[in-house]
Amino acid sequence: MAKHILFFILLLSIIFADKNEFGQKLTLDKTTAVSTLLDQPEKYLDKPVQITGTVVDVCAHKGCWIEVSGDRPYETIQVKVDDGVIIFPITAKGKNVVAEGKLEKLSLSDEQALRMKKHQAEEKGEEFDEKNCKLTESDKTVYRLRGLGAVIK
Amino acid sequence: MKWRKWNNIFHRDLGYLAVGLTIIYSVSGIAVNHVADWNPSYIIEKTSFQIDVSTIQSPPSDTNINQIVSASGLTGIVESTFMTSPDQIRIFLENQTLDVNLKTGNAELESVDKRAFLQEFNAMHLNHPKKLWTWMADIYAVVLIILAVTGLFVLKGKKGITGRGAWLTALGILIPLIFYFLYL
Repeated sequence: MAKHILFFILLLSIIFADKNEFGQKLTLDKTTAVSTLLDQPEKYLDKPVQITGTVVDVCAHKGCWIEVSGDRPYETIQVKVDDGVIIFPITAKGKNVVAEGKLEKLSLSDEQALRMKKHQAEEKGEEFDEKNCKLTESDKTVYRLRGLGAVIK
Repeated sequence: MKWRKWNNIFHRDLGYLAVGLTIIYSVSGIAVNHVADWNPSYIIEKTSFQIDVSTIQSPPSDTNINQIVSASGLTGIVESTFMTSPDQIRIFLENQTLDVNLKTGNAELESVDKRAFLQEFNAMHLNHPKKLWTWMADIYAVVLIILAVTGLFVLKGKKGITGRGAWLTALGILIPLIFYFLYL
């Protein structure tokens, strides 16, 4: 009898699982354009914001970040989540996402920026030429969303 | 002793109940433990090739995108696209991502496939379903604690907790402590 109850609970939990929701439930009713965030980052720093766009890239190993397209051509913003707390599936690529989090600023030294680029290349399975890598200001000052929750459809 | 009889019945039956979940959690545990080296849930394959882009404009029209997809030998439906730079387009199909340089025709296709069983095991282990599954996982964790405690008292005598059991239990507690002080 106990086995049947356990199996039933297991079945229900799988059936009613929502596979499109990640992390905390979305709470904001207004979306902020990625271009607005990146044009006036200091105004939104550490404040909760909601963005929407297409998932253009996903962390291939840990699923610990997604790159979301902005409203301007070629522009994206990274939504970084704590390792293991939220795991974005690699199959999220190309899907629409609504994500919430706090805008954070990373001020990196040359060494840190180089290490970050190397790490990102490794995660994408790409080769990284450390000796010939030229760092720009945007490599050293990074704005990204510390993700708290997301819905991917 | 009557309490030992009930202890053993409890240990035995909870043990049977926990078999399925223990296999799921332990297999997934090994897979997820090596997440720095591989994606434990999906097989990701990348292939590079060349396509003719002489008739493709930048940014490409819908017709151009369909041309690129068929020139790449793909048959899936395009879900969305993104221009990563003025010359580079990323085309998303179901479980496939195609990157094409519109100047050179260099293309890279990334195909993603679920790892049989592991994807489902990892999803359960990492609590993707949430909702009722969260409670299920909590119940399982409590069952494991009960199994550990009742396990100590299954046998009596020299092979029980007052004999070799004490030494082995102490060793089992010591192992994580050694690693903790060694690495943290």
